[in-house]
Amino acid sequence: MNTHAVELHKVGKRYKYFSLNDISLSLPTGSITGFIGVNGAGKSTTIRILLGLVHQDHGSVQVLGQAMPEQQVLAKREIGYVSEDMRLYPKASLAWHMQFIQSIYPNWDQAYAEQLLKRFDLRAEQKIKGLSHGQRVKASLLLALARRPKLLILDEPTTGLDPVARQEVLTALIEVLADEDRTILFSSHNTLDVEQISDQVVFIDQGSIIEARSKEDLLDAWRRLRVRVAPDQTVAQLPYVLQHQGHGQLQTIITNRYSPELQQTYQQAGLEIQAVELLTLEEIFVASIQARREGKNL
Amino acid sequence: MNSMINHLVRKDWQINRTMMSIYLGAMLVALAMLLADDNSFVFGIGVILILTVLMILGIHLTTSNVISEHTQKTLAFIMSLPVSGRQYALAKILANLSMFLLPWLLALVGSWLIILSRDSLPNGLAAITTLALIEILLSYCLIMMMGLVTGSQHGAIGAMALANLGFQGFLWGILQIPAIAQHRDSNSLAWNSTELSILAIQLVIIVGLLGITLVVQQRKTNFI
Repeated sequence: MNTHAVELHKVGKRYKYFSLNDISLSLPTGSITGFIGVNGAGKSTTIRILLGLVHQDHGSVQVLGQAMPEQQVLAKREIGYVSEDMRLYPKASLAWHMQFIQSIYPNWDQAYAEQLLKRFDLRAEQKIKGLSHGQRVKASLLLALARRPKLLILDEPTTGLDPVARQEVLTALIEVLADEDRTILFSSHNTLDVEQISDQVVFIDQGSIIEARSKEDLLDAWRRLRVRVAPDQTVAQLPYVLQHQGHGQLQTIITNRYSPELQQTYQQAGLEIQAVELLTLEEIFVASIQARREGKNL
Repeated sequence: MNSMINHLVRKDWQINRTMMSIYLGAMLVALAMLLADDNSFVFGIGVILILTVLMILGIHLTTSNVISEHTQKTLAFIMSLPVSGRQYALAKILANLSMFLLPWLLALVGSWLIILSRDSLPNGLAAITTLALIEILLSYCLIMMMGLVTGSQHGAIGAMALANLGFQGFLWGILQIPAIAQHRDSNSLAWNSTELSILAIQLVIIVGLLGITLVVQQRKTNFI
């Protein structure tokens, strides 16, 4: 078994107004990776390259051991894909779609499909055009999950869903995670969703990967420190300060290299540390993007 | 045939079965009208209906089975299945051609039977009827090619305009050719060399259009 389900090496794609800049990324087999970026950051382009729907200009892409786009037919036999942008045939029923997918994928699990039908409160005989947006997403997810794919690629699946539908989708995904061999790539600009289910996090901005590591490491490394500063002191010169706010004696510092040693360094520099706070994934994401756009090294 | 292509062709037939039933029904009605006296109003309407059914079917198939994959965003669903761009194009061509050819063949065979079974209609009419029907098939291949290659309504509409002008021009043009005009009024079934040359050119263009479609699809680097 491959240790990595997905491996991208210096992959680039140039469009008129956007380019994907030599991105390299590896997704360990069995991992759940949250792929976070603002709209237009390059998430969907990267995902389409992974599926062979868009061919990279340069760089190598391996998905489940298959070179893409050349071996896309073999790779896609083991991939389930759901996208906010993807639609099923409006005039056909969900049952027709289930039969269609079943005829293509030998791994189709009918019992699981029926279980998902109940959980998602869907009716197989209903035509797709009669479903709400949330129901359509759940129908697509059912079709992807019941084929028991080794790699599940979800491109903004929760976008536009109401809170209940969003939670149902996330709960189904969390249950799928019980299968340790299945790798999931979950793209979203909603960091709360990613924080709930991911164990790896990748940030993408303006076509470049700016962060890729485990969620625990990421949350552990970032801190907000509330400090009291001497009148003649400038915190911007201190090591690993990505952001600082406030101009008086009380200021806040955000660092992405927090450790007890770093805290000691700040104290030795004369800062009085009043509080050390964890950041949410959303705060880390926003701070990362801002720091990068200000030209700082992450 | 590759099983995935098979699945996709069958899928298109299933999705479009209601539409196909209507067109096949309309074609049978049109052919039934040809049973009337060939100087009657009903016969004339039958001929017009055959041409109309084929032309509208060509446009309808392209918009509902090719362009709509882009506009309704079902292409992402299909292309996420284990299928390559070339296989997708091949399946689309096979599905669309087979759906078009079924009523087209009904029209061809039906018109032959009417012409050959009636003393009032010269047998030579079979050649020009066949050439006209093949020109409609060629027009459809052009529209389908533009729909598949561009994936846009604008591209297909441009091809529809071109195909319509081409068909009118073709009919006007071949009737100006003495060898064809003379054969039309004769009772001979045998095709003359002019007709065979036109037929050959039409078939080469059809094969060329389908070939170009496949090559362009295979070279595409962005499918959605």
